[in-house]
Amino acid sequence: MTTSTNGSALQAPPALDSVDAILRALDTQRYVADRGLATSIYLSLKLPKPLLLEGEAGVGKTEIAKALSAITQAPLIRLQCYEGLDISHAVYEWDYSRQMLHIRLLEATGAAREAKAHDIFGPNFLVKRPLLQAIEATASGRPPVLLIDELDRADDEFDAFLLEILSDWQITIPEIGTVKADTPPIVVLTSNRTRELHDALKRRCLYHWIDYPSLEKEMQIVATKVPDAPSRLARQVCQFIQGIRRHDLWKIPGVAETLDWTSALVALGVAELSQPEVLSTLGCILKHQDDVQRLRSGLYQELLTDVVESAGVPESGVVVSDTTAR
Amino acid sequence: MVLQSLIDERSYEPIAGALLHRIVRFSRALREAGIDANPGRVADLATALPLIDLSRRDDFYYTCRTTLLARNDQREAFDAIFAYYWPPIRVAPDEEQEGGSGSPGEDQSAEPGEEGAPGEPQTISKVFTSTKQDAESADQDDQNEQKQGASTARTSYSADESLRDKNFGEFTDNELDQARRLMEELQHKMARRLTRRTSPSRIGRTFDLRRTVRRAFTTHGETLTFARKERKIKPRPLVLICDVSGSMERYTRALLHFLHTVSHATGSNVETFVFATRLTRVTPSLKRRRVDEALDRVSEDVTDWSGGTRTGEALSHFNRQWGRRVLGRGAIALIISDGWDRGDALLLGREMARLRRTSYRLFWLNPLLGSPGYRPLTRGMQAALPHLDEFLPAHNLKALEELVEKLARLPIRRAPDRRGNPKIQAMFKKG
Repeated sequence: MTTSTNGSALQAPPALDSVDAILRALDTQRYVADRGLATSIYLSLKLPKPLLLEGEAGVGKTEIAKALSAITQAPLIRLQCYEGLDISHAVYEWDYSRQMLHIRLLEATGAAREAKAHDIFGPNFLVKRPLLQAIEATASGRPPVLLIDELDRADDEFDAFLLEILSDWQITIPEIGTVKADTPPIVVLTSNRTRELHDALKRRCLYHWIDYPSLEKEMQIVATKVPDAPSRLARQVCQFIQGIRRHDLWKIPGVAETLDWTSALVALGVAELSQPEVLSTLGCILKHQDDVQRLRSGLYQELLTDVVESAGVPESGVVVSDTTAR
Repeated sequence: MVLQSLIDERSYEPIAGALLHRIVRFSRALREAGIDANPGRVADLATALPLIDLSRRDDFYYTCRTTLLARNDQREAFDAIFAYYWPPIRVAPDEEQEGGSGSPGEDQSAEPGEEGAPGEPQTISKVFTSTKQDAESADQDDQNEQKQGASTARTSYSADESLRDKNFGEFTDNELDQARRLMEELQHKMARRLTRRTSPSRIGRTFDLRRTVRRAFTTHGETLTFARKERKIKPRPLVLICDVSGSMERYTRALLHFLHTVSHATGSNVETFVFATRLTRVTPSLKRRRVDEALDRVSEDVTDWSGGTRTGEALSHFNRQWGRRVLGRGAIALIISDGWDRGDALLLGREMARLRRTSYRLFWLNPLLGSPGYRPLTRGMQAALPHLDEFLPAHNLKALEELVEKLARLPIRRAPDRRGNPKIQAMFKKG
């Protein structure tokens, strides 16, 4: 059901000229997207504008950038944000120790006189960080995918700096000159909302909130990502997870957790969620001791009964409509 | 009709006419609802529309949403307004439940009367317009002022002093205005923290290689001076969670003024919530500069004004919905409540434990602590006490000043150095 990635790598990238084309292309990358997300991606490529993705952890925000890079066959350049991130880690830095060494060498060989300052402050000694890499990579004609991951972890000073980059797409390095992007890169920003991003930054982006998938979507995702999971088990896992999401836990499992859990169960040779060894794998989906305890003391059984009951009904009974997603 | 003609032409001409008109009106309605659908975004939408298949209503909806909406918590409002402007809306199936559940009207009526709330739901304006008693004392106050009139300048210092000691519950409108001025003096002394970002500094401890090398340029590559840097200092994020239930009524007005002042402290990062039976975020409302306007907005936000108290439930809601979003970066959590709680004390204890673990410091301000002989013996207070870093009074200006002093004295370092507070432990044991 999925085209192998090796196959498509040889062909020219597909024309992404409609929402449906995006959906098809994402499908070849085994990314199951809903129409809303596909529309946002399509428009962000077309307008072109950076795409800001928000959503709970583990719903596939980062994966989008990877899939986009595979679809467009352009390099993926990733900038992981953290508090205190500054220009020397996001844009460029001079390799001072190599410069020093070079000067010493020139002095030793007596060549210092011929050497010019621009040798030392030349591209050889420039350490390019993701933003500069992304701008330079546009020169190849195929704009790269720039993923600015977890922007909320950086501080608001960085928002302000990013604002400038995202509108002008040029960086000035005093010693070398100005580097300008021919065509802006495809930009995906993600945020987990541990901080409200600056409004001006949001204004420059298209925004999409990625929700937890519906039961059907999630089963589709499990089927594509863990193909060797028996469909019966996959259905039970998805129903169970959808059930958990309706409860008030500290940390609600995302799709990443569903996939981890399914793989773990497959590895253990579990065919039925009701098997006792499943209890020891709860660490795959729950990351808080309070939650584990809550599940062990009753909630697990309760959810399991729901799953088993609805699984007893043949195929058609499973299609609890999309509205159950929470 | 307009849509149809656009599709037929398949042109890249910008949209115009009735559709454009409607979109502009739509965006205006969004802005009125507080959604930041600014002209730039509307222009984006106009550019985007010729690119999509307008016969597909869902594509049209998503296009509007992705260009005009930038906050997920405003999606319900967005959907409602969208549905109004493009009536036969058919949102993608996996979104339907979003719009359907929890319409604002439903929530209000869902609050059962068993709360022991006052007979009629108290309107907000009532809390803010002074009560009869207030008005009387204000009159008296006016007379007093006239008597003192001549010597105001000379006595103003001591007037401030007596105001500082006066219980908020006995404040008149006049006094509240004066108190505000004193509150504003507190703005400059908030808690601070060391960030991970550095800035140039003469006396910093860290060597700044980048600037040192650049400086060497001016001296033909010879390093004569070493540049230094140090970590920047910023105000610590503050999260205020204030009880506005019936038992707190006497203090609410003054405390809200305090919350407003704190929200406007320079460069600060303050999140404010109020609760009685349910938690309401009032940060955006308090951002209004004029205090009357801000408090009017707050009063519109809050639906359970002066109701019963369910601290545990409110904190649980806070921990789940907001904790991760606002308690980052060494935030201090401040709860303002008298501890009269009708909710589940066990739950309150659990949520307080959680709050303690996720905040840099956890403070509880109790207006009753100012009255002589008060002992925190209520079940709620007893459940909360073991988790607190500080337990302070909040009944008059002096108490708030002490609070601010305490905040200003907190270390700027990241690692929370938390030793048990012996005073609090003593109170806990007594209970």
